[in-house]
Amino acid sequence: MVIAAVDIGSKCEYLHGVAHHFVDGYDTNKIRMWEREHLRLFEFNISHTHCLHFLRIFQFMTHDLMAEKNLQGAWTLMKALGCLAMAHLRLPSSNHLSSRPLSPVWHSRCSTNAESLPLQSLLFCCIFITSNLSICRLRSRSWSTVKVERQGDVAVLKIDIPNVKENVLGEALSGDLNEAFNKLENDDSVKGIVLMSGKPNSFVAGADITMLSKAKDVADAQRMSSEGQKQFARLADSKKPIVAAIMGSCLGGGLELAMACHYRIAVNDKKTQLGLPEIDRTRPLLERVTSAVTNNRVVLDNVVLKMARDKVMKLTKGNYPAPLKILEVVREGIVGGPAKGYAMESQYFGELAKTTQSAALIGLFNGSTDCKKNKYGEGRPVKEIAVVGAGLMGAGIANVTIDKGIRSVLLDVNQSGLERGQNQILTHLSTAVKRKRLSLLEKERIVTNLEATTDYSRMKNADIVIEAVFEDLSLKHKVVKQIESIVRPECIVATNTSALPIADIAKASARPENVIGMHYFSPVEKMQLLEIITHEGTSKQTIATAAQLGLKQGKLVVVVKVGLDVAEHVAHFLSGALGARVGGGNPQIYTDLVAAGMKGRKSNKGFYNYGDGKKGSKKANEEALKIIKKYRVAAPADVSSVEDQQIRVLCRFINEAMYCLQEGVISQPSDGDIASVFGVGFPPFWGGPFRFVDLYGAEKLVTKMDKYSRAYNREQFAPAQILQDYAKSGKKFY
Amino acid sequence: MLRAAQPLQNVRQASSAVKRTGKNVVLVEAVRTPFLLAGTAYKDMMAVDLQKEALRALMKRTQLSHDKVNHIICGTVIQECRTSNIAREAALLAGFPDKVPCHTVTLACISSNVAVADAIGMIKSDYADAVIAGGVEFMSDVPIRYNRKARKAMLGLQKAKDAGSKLKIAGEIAKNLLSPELPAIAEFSSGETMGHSADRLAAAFKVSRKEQDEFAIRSHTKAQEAAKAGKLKDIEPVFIEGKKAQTVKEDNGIRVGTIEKLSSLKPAFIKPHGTITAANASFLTDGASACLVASEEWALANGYKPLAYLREYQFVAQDPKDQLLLSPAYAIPRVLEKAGLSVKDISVFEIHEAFAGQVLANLNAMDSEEFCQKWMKRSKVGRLDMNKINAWGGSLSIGHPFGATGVRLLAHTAHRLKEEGGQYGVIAACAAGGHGVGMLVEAYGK
Repeated sequence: MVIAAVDIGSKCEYLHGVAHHFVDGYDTNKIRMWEREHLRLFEFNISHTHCLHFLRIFQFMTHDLMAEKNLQGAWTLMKALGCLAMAHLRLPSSNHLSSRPLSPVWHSRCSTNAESLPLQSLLFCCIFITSNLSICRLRSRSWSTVKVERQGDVAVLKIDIPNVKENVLGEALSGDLNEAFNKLENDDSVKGIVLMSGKPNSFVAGADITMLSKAKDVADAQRMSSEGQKQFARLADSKKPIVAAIMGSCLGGGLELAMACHYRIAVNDKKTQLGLPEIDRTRPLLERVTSAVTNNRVVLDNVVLKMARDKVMKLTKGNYPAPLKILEVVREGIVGGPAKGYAMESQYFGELAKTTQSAALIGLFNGSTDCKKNKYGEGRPVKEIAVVGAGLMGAGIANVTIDKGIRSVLLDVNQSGLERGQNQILTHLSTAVKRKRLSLLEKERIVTNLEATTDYSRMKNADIVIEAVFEDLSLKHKVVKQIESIVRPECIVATNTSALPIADIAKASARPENVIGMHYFSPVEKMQLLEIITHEGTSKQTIATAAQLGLKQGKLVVVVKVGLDVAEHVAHFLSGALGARVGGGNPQIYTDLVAAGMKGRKSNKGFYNYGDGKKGSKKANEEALKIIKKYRVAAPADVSSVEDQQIRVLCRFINEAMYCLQEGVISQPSDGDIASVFGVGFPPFWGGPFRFVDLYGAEKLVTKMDKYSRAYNREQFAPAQILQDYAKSGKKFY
Repeated sequence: MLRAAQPLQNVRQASSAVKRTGKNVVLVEAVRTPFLLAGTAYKDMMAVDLQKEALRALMKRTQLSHDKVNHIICGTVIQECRTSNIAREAALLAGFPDKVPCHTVTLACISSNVAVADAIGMIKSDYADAVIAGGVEFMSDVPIRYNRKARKAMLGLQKAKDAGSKLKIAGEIAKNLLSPELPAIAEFSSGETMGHSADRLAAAFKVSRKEQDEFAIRSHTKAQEAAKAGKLKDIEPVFIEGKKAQTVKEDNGIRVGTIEKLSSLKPAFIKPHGTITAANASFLTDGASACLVASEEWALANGYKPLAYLREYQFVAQDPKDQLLLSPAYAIPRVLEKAGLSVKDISVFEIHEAFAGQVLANLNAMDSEEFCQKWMKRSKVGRLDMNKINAWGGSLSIGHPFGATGVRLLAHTAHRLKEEGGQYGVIAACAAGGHGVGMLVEAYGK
């Protein structure tokens, strides 16, 4: 159900799925009926990619005008679906407009409806603006973030925050908007208002996160929320028609702003992205629709909300508090009326803004934003890469490169391996076509960038060669030498290793300054993280070029600086020299599993029997369980509560992260957090190991570790020095 | 006049024996997908996919930047109506910029010869420097339509107002639902199928069943030898994605049978006394081809060593009933005449093998004084040396995707000239409607 997914993210993909579910789901007929009764308004075309394209916007607008009296209802339905109408507004000239088949309808209807005449000029005004025709400016006025231009009796409000790429809804903007709006509201010569962005590709990208973090306490955050509600309500209640003209990102608070307007038109373009508000800021959107769907509270509580709640629990396992609160707010809005609903919303908003989850997620947002920036300088341009080894990783790397328009040569020594890799890429792209994320044409143009071959000489034009062959030092040496014998001298040789020290690999190289580690995570298509690992000899330009490629591939880039000492350290880590710190388990269990032919997906059985790949055919492997049982050790009872079990596993990972910071492998805590969340799946609601220590308390963690070290091997649980220091001083990483 | 006055810089006159005008046009490279029996590995694709593969393969092999291509022309016969300008759709899918104009041509089995001829014209007229000509045929899927009555009723449905007439129309549609209309296999003008006509042609020129079967076996044997020796260099593998992903690397229609086996087959068209059987006729094939045709200056300036010169072409047309497949007999002498060459000057013949009987009938016709006098008002052309004809197999064995065969013939001719050290090669092919083509190819740099 809709409600459930509202919180999962502001990503339009979810929105798509949800809206689809809503329309095609069990209550389709009811919605349709409701629609028919009230409006006969929508022609849904929820089949497009990231944003929902309502291609027949002109019809929509005409109907919308006709249905002036029902507008409020229409608005509510749209809000519930999280959808906006999307305009097909690429009009080269006004002639074109009049040649549209719909225009006669438009004119006849408008002319019979005296009330909508100012609106007509208003909408035309929008069209002129979006089609970049010159506007005759009569008067204009500007604030620092908002400009007002006038065309006839229509005022055009342009949001343009200076010196940033994206508009965000912060204090300055909302203040300016408020002022500008006050002025227009009281100006009788203004008959209608158009709200749009002065930036080409950003309407409003959402609320300003820093504003949120600045909230001192719960009451402060609550105040922010209710002020926002009031502002939006004023827009919505305005007697003058307001049209939001959207192009570019319209996310979260930005979408709410657009929703608060009376009409929305948008440019039908991929860059136009609509996304529901984040977890914390969802107004009781559903009240009216839900009541239209079911007026019966028993049904509401036991069917609609229960379904939603179940879905939320299934997806979040209760680790995110917001979705459940949203459901409460929705219920309150329906049962107790909008006023109570809004009050409850801002109350919960205040509370949620100050949860640990909120802090963790905001931290992650900031950290990942940081990782999307190029901090490493200008690299050399990369026009073509080569990937050696067409395994899961190799093909994945090629995949995320060709779809960014960079030619990639995918190489493998044997034909069948190459075919497998090729198929992986093509299947992945075909799935995207099936799900309408790509058009067939886009897919094929991406495929054109791929050259799969067993002929190594084809890599000769590459700017970067990434090798993703088996993790074996002598093999890597051989491959590096082979690559260098073919490519141009300035070509970078990157190795996708997760275990071998780059310095060791670079030993085989004639040009070690061009050797770097690019550690992707499997599956490359999905995992956002890229660790760039340097050795002492790696040149700055090599780092910059590799980072640039990573960023182009859409990855969060973390550069890990590994000096010789640390390389040594990693090597020892692998050879088991770290001993007890990584000990505790019995590796014999894997030897036994492998000996029994249970090699995981490769052999179709491991811990699981993978079956025929159909849903539900993956089952726990009884034989593997027997092997596990053989090595089972009894856990000491006093460290085996659920929390202890969790912390026991977690603390050793966290401890290693501490060592990384202590030894300079990573340069800042946020790198470690991003790497942990996006690379190895550290729970996002804890924000990563460093954030976890802050939130959980270093001292408390050290105490726990002491307790475990008494029950187990002392060295396994010895806290890193840095952790002990933080525990003693009470200092925080953030 | 102005142009004629300009010296042809860097352009070698390959042979002074041949008079010619305008720029030298060369074949830079020619590729094709493996040709497969319809309903085999390609069966889930579309024609546009195959053409796209051929275009992509050509670009990969030549390593040419897409924006250097001035125009793309593809030939096809049975059109998928969703991609009626298949050249454009395939080019877009193959990654060509949308600024490259593309058009599709059709002339039955010589469609891609038309594409090549158009390309030559474009270059000679200074409209373009580099043109891709190709073609595709996809027999694994053909447009099968509702019959005319059903179509008429469907179109009428929109106009029907009341329930009664709607119901009547619905009944009409239902009645005709199960008798679909297949793509025509008979000549529209004569109503005769091509096989039937070929059988009559073979009989008229006294080609025996045995000769036909032997010629078919020869075609398969030659093709098999050439494939084994790696001579079919125009083939580029096609990767097919999916659960059973595979790379198709070779033609799958080559099958050398025994004379006993072949002679045991029943006639396919004229029963029971006809001589054309499934084994001595070409089979339904999926496949696509593409070649890069350019002016010699352009090719050299861009670092290519062309495969061959494209010298002359001549399209001909005859009575679509009695001489439906006899056009090679007309086209070969005419194209030679045009170039001032005789049969003896030609070292390579690539004659399209629609039916074994058809090829042999054409050879007999050219060697017949009576025929040449009566129909061409000339003395007989003479018998072509069998060793020069289709030495690497032909449409009988390799397959015959209608729209793609022309470029395949061209590739064979060019590669054979190189391999055999000959100077001139002639392509000849027949096509529905009584059409035919002859093309003169000259070895490059000989």
